Amino acid sequence: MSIQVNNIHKTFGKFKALDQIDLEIPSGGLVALLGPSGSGKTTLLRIIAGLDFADAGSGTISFNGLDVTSLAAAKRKVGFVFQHYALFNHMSVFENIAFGLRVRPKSEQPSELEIEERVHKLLKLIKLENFGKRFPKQLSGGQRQRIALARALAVEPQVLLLDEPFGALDARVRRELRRWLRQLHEEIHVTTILVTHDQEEALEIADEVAILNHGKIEQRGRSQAVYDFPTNAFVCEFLGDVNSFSNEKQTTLVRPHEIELYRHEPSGIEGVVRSVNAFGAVERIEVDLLCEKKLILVERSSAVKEKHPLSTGDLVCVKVRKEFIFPHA
Amino acid sequence: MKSQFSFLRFFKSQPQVIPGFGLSLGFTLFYLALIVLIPLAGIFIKSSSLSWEEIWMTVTHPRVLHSYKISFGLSLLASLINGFFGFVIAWVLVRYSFPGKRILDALIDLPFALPTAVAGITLCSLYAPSGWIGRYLELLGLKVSYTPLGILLALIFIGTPFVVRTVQPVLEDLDQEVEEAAISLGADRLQTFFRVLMPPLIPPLLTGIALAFARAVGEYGSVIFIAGNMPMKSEITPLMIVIQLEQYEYAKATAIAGVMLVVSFLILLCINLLQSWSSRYQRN
Repeated sequence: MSIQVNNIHKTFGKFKALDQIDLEIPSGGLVALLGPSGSGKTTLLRIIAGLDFADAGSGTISFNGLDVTSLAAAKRKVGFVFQHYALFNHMSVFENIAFGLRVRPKSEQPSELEIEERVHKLLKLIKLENFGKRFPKQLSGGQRQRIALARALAVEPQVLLLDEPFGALDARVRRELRRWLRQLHEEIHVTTILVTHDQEEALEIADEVAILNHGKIEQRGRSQAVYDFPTNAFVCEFLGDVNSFSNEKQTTLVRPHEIELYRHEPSGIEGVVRSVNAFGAVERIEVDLLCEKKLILVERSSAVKEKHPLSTGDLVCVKVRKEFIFPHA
Repeated sequence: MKSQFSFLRFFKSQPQVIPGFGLSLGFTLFYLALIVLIPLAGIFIKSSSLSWEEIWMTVTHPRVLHSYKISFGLSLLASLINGFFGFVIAWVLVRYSFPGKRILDALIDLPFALPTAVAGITLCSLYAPSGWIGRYLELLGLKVSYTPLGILLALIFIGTPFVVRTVQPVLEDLDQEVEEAAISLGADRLQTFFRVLMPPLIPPLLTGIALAFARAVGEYGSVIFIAGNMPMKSEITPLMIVIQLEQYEYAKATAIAGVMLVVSFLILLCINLLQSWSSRYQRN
C-alpha cells in the first residue's frame, strides 16, 4: 500500500506545524521522518493516521491513490505505535493484541480459535510466547513496545506508523529493537513510516529518509545518499557531527572523520592536540587550530591510531579530505 | 508456624530502605486505637450490660427492623444513583472545557460544607406540597417530603461529592494516547468507552460509592427534617438510636448502633473486595 501526502498544511494558532508537505511513500517501503523536536514530524504522522486533521482547504492524504483525507481513523486500517506504548493496562497481553480483532463487527469477527491462533503467532513473532497471561505493568519497556507493535499488526494494517517507538527505551534495548524491526520489516513488508529524532536510528533502519525542519521537508532520499550529499547546512549538521567554519559568504562543514592529522608535514594548517579520547574502534581527538582560535574534532580509525599515535600537547598538521560548502542565501 | 515466624522477622531484622517504619506504624496503630477502635469497642461494651435476650428484643423490634430496611436500602440506592450521576459530572468536568467550569467544580463540594440541618430544612421546604418544587410534583401525584423518597433525596444530596472527587483524578490521568490507540485499532466510540476508558475507572467509582454509602448510613441531620419520621414508614435507624437515648436507654441505643456498625462494615468490606478485584491488573 503506497502513501501519498499531497500539499498538507497544519497550523496550531499562529504556529505553522506543517507547511506544504508533499511526500510519496512506495508500497512496502520503510521511510523515516527525521527531524528535531517541533519540526512537525509527529503531526504529519498523526495526520496520516487520521488522529489529527490537516487545515481545512489544504491537500489530501491517499493510500494507493485512494483519497482517505476525510476517513475516520478507525476506518483507515492503520497500525499506530506510540512512543509511550499506550497499552491497555487492565487487559492481559493476550487481550491487548486481540483487541483489534474483538472490536470488529460481528460479521467480520474471527472465531475465538482463529483469534487465539493469530495472537500466538504474533507473540512468537515478537519473541514473547509465554507472556500472554501477564499484564503490561509486569513487563519491561522493550517488551511493552513489542506488544504494542504486535497489537498494531494483529489487525493486518495496510500501513504501519511508528511514532518514536524506541524513544523511551535505554540505548542497548534500542539498538536490539532497531535490528529486530528491520528484520521484521523484511519478513512482513508492510509499508512503514518511522518518526524519529535519532539520525543514527533513521539511517540504520530506513530505506529512505525525509528530513523535516520547521514544518518543511528539507531533503528526501536514500539514507546513504542523503548522508553523502546533503543539500543544505541544516541536513548536514543534523545527520552527524561536523566542524563548522563560516564567513560572510559561505559555511564550510567538515565531518570529523574526513580530517587527517600528520606529525611532520611542512605544509598545512597547524594545531595542537588538546585531548585524546580513545575507546572502541574510533579515536576522538580535539585539536586547537593555531591560525584561528578554534577547537575542532577529529575522528581516526584504530588502524591509523596505531600507526601514528598522538598524545596531548603534540604539534600536528591538519588536512581536510572532504568538505561541504554551502553558500549563504 | 512458619508464616508466624516470617511475620516476626519482617518486623525485626529485615533492613528497610524507607526509614521510620516502626515509628510511623506505631503512631498509626495508636492513633487509630484512640480515635476509632476504643470508641467503637465502647459501643459493644456498653451494650453488653444487657442480657442476650434484651439485646435481641431491642434490635429485632418491628420498628427497628423496618428502619434497617429504610436506612440500608435507601443508602445503597442513593449511593448507586450518586455513582451514576457523579460519574457523569466527573466526566463532564474533566473531558470538556466550558465557561463557568471552575464555579461548577467548586459547587460540587458544597454539600460537604453546608450544615446538614440546613440542607434538610431547605430540601424539605422545597419539596413540601406547598414548596417551590413540591407543588408541581404534587400535581403529578408525587410526594417527596415526609416520605422515603424524601429520605432518598437527602441522602443523594449529601453523597454527591464523593464519587465526583474519587473518579475525577483518575479520569484526568487517563492517557489520551490509549484512547487513540483503541480508535486506530478500529474501535467505535462505545467500544472505546466500555472496553478501554471504563475499566480503569471502576475501582475509583467503587471507592466513591462506598464512601457515599458510609456517609448516607450514618446521616442524621439532613434526613430527620425531610423524613417525616412516621413509625414503620419513614424512620431511619439513627433515629431509633436517638429515641432510645432520649429515654435514657443507653445500652439499648448502643445495641442498635452495634448492628448498624456490623452491617455497614460487612457491606464496606464487600465493596472493598470488589474494588481490589477490579484493580488486580495494577499489581506487579
